[in-house]
Amino acid sequence: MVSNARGSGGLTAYLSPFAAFALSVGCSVGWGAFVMPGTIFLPGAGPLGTLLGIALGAALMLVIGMNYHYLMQRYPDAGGAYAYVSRICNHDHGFLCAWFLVLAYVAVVWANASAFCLIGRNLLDGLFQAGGHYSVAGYDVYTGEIAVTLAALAALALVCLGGRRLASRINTLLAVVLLAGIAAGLAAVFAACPDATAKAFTPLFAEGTGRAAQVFGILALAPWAFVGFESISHSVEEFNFNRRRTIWILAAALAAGAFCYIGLTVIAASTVPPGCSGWNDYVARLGEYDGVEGLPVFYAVENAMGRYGAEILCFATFAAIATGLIGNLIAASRLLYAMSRDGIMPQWFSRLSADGAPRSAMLFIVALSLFVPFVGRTAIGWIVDVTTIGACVAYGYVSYCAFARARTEGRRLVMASGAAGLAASAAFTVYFLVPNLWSLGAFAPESYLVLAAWSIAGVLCFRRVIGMDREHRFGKTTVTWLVMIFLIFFTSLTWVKQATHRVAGEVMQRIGDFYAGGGQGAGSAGEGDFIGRQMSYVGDALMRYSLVQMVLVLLALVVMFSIYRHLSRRERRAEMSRVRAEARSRAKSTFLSNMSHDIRTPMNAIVGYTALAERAGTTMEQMRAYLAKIGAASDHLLALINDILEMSRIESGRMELDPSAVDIAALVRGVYDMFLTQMESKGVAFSLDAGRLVHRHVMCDGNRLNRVLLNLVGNAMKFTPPGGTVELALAETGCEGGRAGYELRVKDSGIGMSPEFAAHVFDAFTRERTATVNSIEGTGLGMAIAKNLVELMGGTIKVDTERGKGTEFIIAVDFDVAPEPVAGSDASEKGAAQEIDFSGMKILLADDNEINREIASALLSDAGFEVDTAENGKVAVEKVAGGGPRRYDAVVMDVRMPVMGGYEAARAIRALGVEGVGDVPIVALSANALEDDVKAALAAGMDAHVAKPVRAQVLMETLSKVIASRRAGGSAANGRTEEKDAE
Amino acid sequence: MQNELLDTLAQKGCAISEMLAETFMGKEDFYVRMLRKLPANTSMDRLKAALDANSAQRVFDASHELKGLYSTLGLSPLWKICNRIVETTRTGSMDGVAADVEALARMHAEYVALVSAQR
Repeated sequence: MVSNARGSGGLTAYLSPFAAFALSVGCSVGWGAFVMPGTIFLPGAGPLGTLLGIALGAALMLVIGMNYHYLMQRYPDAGGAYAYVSRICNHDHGFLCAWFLVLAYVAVVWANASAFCLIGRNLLDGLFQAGGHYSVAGYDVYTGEIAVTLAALAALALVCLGGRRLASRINTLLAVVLLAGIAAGLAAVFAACPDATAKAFTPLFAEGTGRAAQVFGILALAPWAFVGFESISHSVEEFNFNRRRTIWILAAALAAGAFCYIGLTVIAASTVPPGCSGWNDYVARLGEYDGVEGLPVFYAVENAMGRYGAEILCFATFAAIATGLIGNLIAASRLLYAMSRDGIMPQWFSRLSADGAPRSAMLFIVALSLFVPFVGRTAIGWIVDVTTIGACVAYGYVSYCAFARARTEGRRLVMASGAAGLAASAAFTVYFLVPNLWSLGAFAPESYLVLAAWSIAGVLCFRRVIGMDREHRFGKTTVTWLVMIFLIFFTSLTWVKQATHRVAGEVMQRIGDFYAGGGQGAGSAGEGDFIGRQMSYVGDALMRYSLVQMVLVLLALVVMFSIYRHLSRRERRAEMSRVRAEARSRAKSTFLSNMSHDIRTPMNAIVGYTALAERAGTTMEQMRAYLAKIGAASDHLLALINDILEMSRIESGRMELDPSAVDIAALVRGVYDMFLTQMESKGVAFSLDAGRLVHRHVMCDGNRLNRVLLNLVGNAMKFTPPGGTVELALAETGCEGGRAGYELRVKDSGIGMSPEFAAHVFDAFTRERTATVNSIEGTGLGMAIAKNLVELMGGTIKVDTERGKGTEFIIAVDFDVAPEPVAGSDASEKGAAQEIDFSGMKILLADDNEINREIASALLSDAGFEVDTAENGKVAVEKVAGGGPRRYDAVVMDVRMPVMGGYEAARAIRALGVEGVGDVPIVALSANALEDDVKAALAAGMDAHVAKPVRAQVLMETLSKVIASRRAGGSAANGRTEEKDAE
Repeated sequence: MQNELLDTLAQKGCAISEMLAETFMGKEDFYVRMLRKLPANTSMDRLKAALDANSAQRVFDASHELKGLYSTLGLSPLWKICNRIVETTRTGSMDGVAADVEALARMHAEYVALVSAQR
């Protein structure tokens, strides 16, 4: 989930209230605040119109801020809007919101990175315009400026590497410089014009449109002007203060931002160059001025304070750009971090530095920004234009989420702010998206192309996210596709329209110039040629744009189709899984129902006979009979439980084969012998055919193969009525490359199975529901266990059956051929297993636990050993090494001991090498008895493994075996001796 | 069983009969003597210290030792909790271990009191 990483190595608190305020202000005020008064604010609405528009805009942003504040209390997550939307709507909406928010933050980083050069161009006499240059979209890109921007990005990377606290301190300092610089400029302007009154700012509004429309025009700029004020929502995990104070920080930041915009507009309107009648005349003729005079804000401050004042404002501008750069980088990195933590971005993005900053995400954004210096400010401006759309989408989503969440809590005030925020965000989106609807200007045609490209990148990314989405969190609604496809269609269409309109304008201009110049050697042919060239220019451009649009739309449709196909497949798979799960659930229910019967039967017998045995007056003979019945019922219960445990081991993948050299013919013969008497008692003719073998000795897990055959033959006996036949057959089908193929058949003339059941006979927990079967005990696991074991051996098992006629199971399996055993080895094996008299033998017992040591000592002494003890492996090694040859007949060694463990001690003893010392038989003692533990003991050079708690009989049998084996000159390393009761 | 302590432990679900037969060779006195050594065993202190240090490895070591002890003495109820701690910490996890150690320590203290009190 989105916030799960909190408290488990995620972001930690460090941000003070003032640092959060500085972050919010720094993100929302940038280079534009110093330029817009002369280019947009004053021409659009005049000083009073700007003041009212900005103030209202800030108030509206505060309404959206209230929504952020409300959600921050409930979802304190680095994802901010992404986290709220993912939780309250769904992950599809969360992705859509995050995609546009990333665009907004990253684009503002790019805008600020490219703005440093503008200080040089406008305020420092083109200081950085050095070296060679080239032009991109009419903007001259100089080598010097590229170097300056790269240096700014390098400085940003250094700040990232310096850690969160350093970045925050620098950001706070810069925000103070920004606010102080503007305040100083404002004070200087008024000090220089002590008689400045409302008259100096007349007219209060711009000419042309109505005053309300002018105010609304500025108000509509609010998402652009204040974008980033909400960036602290991504740092809420890092607040070192109560997050309930966030609303005051947001309000203060918006007030400070409004102060910057209004203050700078007032400064710009306060002073005009000689020859201008007022601010309106100045801004109307702004294109005629260059340098400082081309920037009214700087001109006014320089006029009031001289060069010193311009430098102060220059520092403030630098601070505005730098805070925007750092602040938006912090916000974007937290967003990427949260998305990565949520699994929709690569894990790399959620890596944190030593001081807890998402450094990988920050460095990624810096690296992504390295192209910025090379494309020039105009091209970056196309991208920056669409940040407003990104911000509006995020604001709309957050407002909706606040509304939806508040409705569940009955919070009317938040519901109202949510509804107002949603309506305002929707209105802003339409205003910015639809060209010419907004009177103060429109996006460049290329901005629409950028938005279309970003949307296509979005659907591509969404396709990847859906492909990686194992939890099926995405693809629940079609809204993401619809919005993206709408944006791609709409923006590409608008781009074609706007671009064509621009080309048409150029052509009209040329035609106008042509006729104004008298036709340039006119004549009807020349005029016709000229018009024809212009028409084909328009036609070519239109064709070019349409082609690009078609490619964009086609690309989008291809990706959409791919998403649709993926989701369809996913749905099909989910449906199949559901059906399978239901079938499995039904089978398990049936199984449990059968099991409860099967378990109750022997349990009832045990309880019943125990009660009978406890009755007064029970004779010894009766008691024996009862105990025999209790024993039989217990055995059955144990078999049942073993089946369940074995199935559980197989299903969880914990079953491993333990191959060893096995006489397969003898194994099958053993099974035959085991059932022969029972078959005869039941009146079933039982036959064996195992004569056609070339290779009898193979490497296989004899116990498991035995288990398979016991299941099959046991079933055949159960389901074959008296008078029937059961045939067991083993045949070798061939041998190649040291691997022999075998076919094992178990055929009976019993009740057979229905075709429907035969299809599921190997499924776990299934038993056929017939009167005959119901009367026969069974767990419904035997066949499933058999099939799984055969498959584990690399073989196959199939069934051929017909109801009333009988059943035949056929196993086909290959085993590695094992060498023929050397004559006489059987005898030594038997000898090894013989009982040995331990009287007088010396044994070393190593165990750190006093109680265990004392118990084992008593057992060993009782058996006749002279027992010596050691409290750890090191002492044990020293005692074995220091006592000369054959001091001990055996060592019993606990595995886990302090100072030196059992394995290490066993290796050290083996390393001693001296005959009668290094080869002393060692038996491991351990509370662990898993396969791996037994293997580890053998790998350490031990001869056998005995599980705790120590059973006297098991320990003595094991010691008997290893000592006898060593005396016969071999190793008794036959692995596990005792595993029941282990762990 | 002749011994009151063994009877009491058996009633609490301990595997007394099985251990008496298979490990203690039917010697009730010997079994009781071993049980009376439980209070002096320091493994539980080590387990608590390991938990305080929040070290999964140390908790594993101490609980593993206790597990062997409990199984040898047939103290199944204690063994069950201890086994859970061993299996959790085997993978390096400490999820739910604090609660288990607390429960085990409480139960261990009960058994220590029991074997100390009953004669």
